[in-house]
Amino acid sequence: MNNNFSFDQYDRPAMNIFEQTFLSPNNSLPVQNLKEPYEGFIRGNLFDHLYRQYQNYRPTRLVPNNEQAELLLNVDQLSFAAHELNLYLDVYPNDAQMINLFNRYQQMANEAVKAYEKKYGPLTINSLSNTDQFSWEAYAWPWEMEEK
Amino acid sequence: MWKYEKRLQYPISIKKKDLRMAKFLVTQYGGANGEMAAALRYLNQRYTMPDNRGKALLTDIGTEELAHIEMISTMVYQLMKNATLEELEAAGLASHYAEHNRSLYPTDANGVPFTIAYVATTGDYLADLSEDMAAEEKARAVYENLIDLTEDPDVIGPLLWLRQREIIHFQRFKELYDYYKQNKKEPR
Repeated sequence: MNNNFSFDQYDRPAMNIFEQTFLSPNNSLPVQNLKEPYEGFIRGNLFDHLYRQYQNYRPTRLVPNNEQAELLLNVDQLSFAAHELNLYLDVYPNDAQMINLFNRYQQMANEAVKAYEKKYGPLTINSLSNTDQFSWEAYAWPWEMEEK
Repeated sequence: MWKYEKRLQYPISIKKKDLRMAKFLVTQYGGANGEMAAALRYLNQRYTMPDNRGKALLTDIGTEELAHIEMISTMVYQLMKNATLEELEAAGLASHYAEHNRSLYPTDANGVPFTIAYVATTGDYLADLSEDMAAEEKARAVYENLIDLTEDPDVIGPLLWLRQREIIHFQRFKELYDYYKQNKKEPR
């Protein structure tokens, strides 16, 4: 996949539909501190107030160069956003606003997984059923995708 | 049980072979403050957390650490890929070659193999969570040391990302610790 990614430090990504969707998701207090999924994902930190920059290093902007990279970035960023809220909810299980947002991201992540798998193969073994071909090993492994 | 997802948590694409950096970076695979120690630490401690918050948080962070093991392994693998014997020797990796050829093996930056002795469990959840907070801070510090040692943006990007994860994990452990302090739980 990763010859399909430019690791550009400064340019805006070509694809960023999520910014529009999630710039002002809810009006609860914790949500105001959240980055939208793409920005949160490239930082490795969805929570704006918890982000701590190291020296002068800015987060790497991930720019997908083809459809597979774009679909995978969707999976990555939405799964990440859901996972960040998962960890938050482990500690604050009664935060209704965050539960709503978690549901939303998790559902979008599930859809992103389906969209990716339709063209580029199964991400989990669960996705294989009722199949004539065992495609689990037909696609590159994550550590060697750059060789493709 | 666990299910494998056939993707990295964050994309990695290292184009430049760098055996020197591979030798340093492997410590976040098999060193005292590395990702393997983190995963086993939390997944081992979770059974004796006093309530479901603790069990959930240690399960979920422990699981994420497994994904970080995969990221670090991928980076070491890509940094070492296609290394010649001469290059390995020049980088001080001839002893690694003798034991493991070009395979991965969890050690620290000095070549000391991973040991579960890096991980503590006391049965005291406050002591355990204090260890977890310290572990996240130490891992963050090591990521900063590693960032200082390279100029390759393909390496720095994922290291910056993993460093932020240490910050988040520290924060969640601290919140849980504070919650337990305020709401005394009976140890179990």
